Amino acid sequence: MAWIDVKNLISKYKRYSGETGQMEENTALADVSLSIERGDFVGILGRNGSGKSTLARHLAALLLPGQGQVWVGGLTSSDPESVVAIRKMAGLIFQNPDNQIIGNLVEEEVAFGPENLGLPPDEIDRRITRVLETTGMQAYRLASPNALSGGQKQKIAISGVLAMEPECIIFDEPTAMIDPESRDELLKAVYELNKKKKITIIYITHFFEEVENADYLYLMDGGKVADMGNPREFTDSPQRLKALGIGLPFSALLKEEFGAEDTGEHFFGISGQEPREEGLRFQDVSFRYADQEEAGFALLHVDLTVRPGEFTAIIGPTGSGKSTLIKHMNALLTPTEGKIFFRGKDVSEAGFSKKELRTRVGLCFQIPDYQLFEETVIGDIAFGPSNMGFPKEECLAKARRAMELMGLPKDLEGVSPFSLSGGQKRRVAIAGILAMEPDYLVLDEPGAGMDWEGRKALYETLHTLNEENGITILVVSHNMNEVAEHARRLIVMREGQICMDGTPREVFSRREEIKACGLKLPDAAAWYLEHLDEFREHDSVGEGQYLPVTVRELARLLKECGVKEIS
Amino acid sequence: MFRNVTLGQYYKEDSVIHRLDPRVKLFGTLMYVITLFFPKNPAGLALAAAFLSLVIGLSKVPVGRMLRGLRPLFIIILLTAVMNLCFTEGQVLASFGPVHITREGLYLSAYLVVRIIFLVMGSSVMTYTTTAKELTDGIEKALGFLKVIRLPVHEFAMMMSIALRFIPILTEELNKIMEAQMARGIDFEEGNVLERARKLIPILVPLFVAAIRRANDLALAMEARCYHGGEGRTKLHPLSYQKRDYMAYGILILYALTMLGLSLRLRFTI
Repeated sequence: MAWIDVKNLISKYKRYSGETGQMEENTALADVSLSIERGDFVGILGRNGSGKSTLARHLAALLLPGQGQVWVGGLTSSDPESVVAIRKMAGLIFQNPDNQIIGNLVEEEVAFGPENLGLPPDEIDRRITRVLETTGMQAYRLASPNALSGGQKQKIAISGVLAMEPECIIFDEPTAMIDPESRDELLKAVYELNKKKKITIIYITHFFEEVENADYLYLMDGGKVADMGNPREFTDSPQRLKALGIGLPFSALLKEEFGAEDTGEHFFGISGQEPREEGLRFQDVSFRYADQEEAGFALLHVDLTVRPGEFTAIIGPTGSGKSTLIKHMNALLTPTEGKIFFRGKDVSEAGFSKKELRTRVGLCFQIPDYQLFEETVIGDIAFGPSNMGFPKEECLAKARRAMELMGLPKDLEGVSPFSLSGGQKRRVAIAGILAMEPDYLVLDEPGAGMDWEGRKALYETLHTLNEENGITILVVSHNMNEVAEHARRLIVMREGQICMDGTPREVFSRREEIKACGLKLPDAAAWYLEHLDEFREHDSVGEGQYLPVTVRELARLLKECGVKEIS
Repeated sequence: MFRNVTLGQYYKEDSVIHRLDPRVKLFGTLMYVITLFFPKNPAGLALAAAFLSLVIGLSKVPVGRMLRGLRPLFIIILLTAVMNLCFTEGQVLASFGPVHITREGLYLSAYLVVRIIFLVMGSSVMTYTTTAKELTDGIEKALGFLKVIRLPVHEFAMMMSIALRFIPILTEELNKIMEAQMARGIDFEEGNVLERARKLIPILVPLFVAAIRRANDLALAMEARCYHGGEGRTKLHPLSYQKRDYMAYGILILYALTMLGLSLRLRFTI
């Protein structure tokens, strides 16, 4: 028997269904069998709702099997006597760092597990010192977890699990809610735990890139193990990933694009004439939070014009002022200094209605759960128009139109928004803004937490809104590949200022500045620069003259250079 | 916005008062507050003032900071003073229309104001010098005897500790929810009382949903780390009395007896 052995595991749960109005039994895991050897690094991939998290909870003996069995280190979780022993052997790191930290100080947090095990105080103290050294968080021993970044919080959560000296740690999408700058660092720490401390790692994610160095992968779909193999096999036959809704790694994407017929179309081409209207204009805007005077300005001398019809992305490291900037666009915040004009009118003037501005410039935040509250989807979406004072019938008509725009099926109308999946919630939230029929749609991290298919579909919808409905789109994003592919203009923020503004190619060509901002290049640009020497011999390619920023551009460039094959 | 706010007003310093066992500080605060109501004469209040200054001095917490803590109570103190000054019967010193200022009123309001100030400052010595964790540990241990009559003392302390951790997070969440709904055109400043109350629904529903989800996650995370209640649990910093704690108890009892003595003696002689 393998160290971890899951045999014919079936997991069912009951939940309230908004569609039928009754409790329904759902199957989260339908006959899962898998085995994991001691010391392995195993990746578990799958789209949202494929049963990954349920499996994680079973492996950590937090859910107990109704049918089938879970064996960990020779113990089965079906035996009530073994449950605590399994929990001690197999630690679990959850998605949201805030919801798993119990202690008010880092030290207390790390001590929590050992305290539950009933260890003597001096042993707990030794363990705290040791694990904080392993995760490199010694300096924060007496800090409050609230003062730490998302990545640091996850490291504290890992320290807390390590202090129990587990043999195995299960990571359930640990990077989903942390800033991308700390993602690589966290990943490195996880791989080191496996290599140096010989801890068995089970890493659940929907990003293939995060587990491409794993020993082997299990791919889940519809509550079953649908495929397995080592990462190499999947990079060689990417259709196996695609079939299960998992985004391809860059190398596979490039090969695919390279092999595809050239359609000759210009990808999301630059739209025709320059619009005359100036739209939204920031004039020397500075802003300082009233309760954080000592922290200085969150925005400093920002000059910016967003014209109708743009598809623009705002990028920049965490804390660079992106959120503060977009909150000025619909007057949730008003400038400390400087002025904002909407269609030539000063927004701060007494006659200007903030409410009117908020309906013209729709702002949709990252977490849909912060705005959903009504009993039905349609009622929730109609909330915006009803605040604008439209009669009920008209509100519903607007809400229906918004649902159609967001591709939400009609039969979801009467469903409770709380019973929807994450991706659908996000669409309902955006529809709730669209129902106000704004001319500008500003979205904060629209793809965060969604799987590859969900993100792709969402961006397609945004392009339709932009191109067919003439809605100006502004997105804040951390994903450089995404912004390079979709946006026509990039605004780069750094320390409260706009440090670059231009097309993706213009911006990413300024490599030194991108690096100084703590940002990365899109994969295609990075790959091209790395292989630049190999293309020198082909004429017409000069450094920085034509920097490909998307996979498609890169593939076309390679073909033009006469490259026959990509290894 | 609220990220760096630690709850309570802990002032980081290494003083003898900081190092005292939280149980001593809890007992001391209780004792000080009770004895404040004994004296009916300046001598008792003078002793209370002297004792308070001594403790504050030892705690190394800046006096200015402690006085600033009184600011929110200014209105209450002022009201108490004015009410007692104007509406106490006795020997009239001055009259302004129907209002008479009496000798007794003057004394009474002075006593009350001084007492309120001492009371607030006395108890804030504890909050300035004790972390929330120490305080909950202290309460858990001090009230441990109540477990005999099946009161869930450990659970109560754990709840307090978790609440302290999540209040700043929920406050931030509340801000974000309000912003998200404002972006949908809700205006909290217009409408009558009933309409305004209705506007709380789009705020409270997401807040509760989020809080319940967090509670669920947290319970799982605690179970994953083998939490199974207070039984068999150890502590990183277990509370144990040192020599200084016994000395502090001695001083506190001495102080309480003196206060009692002062008030009794004076009651007999008056």
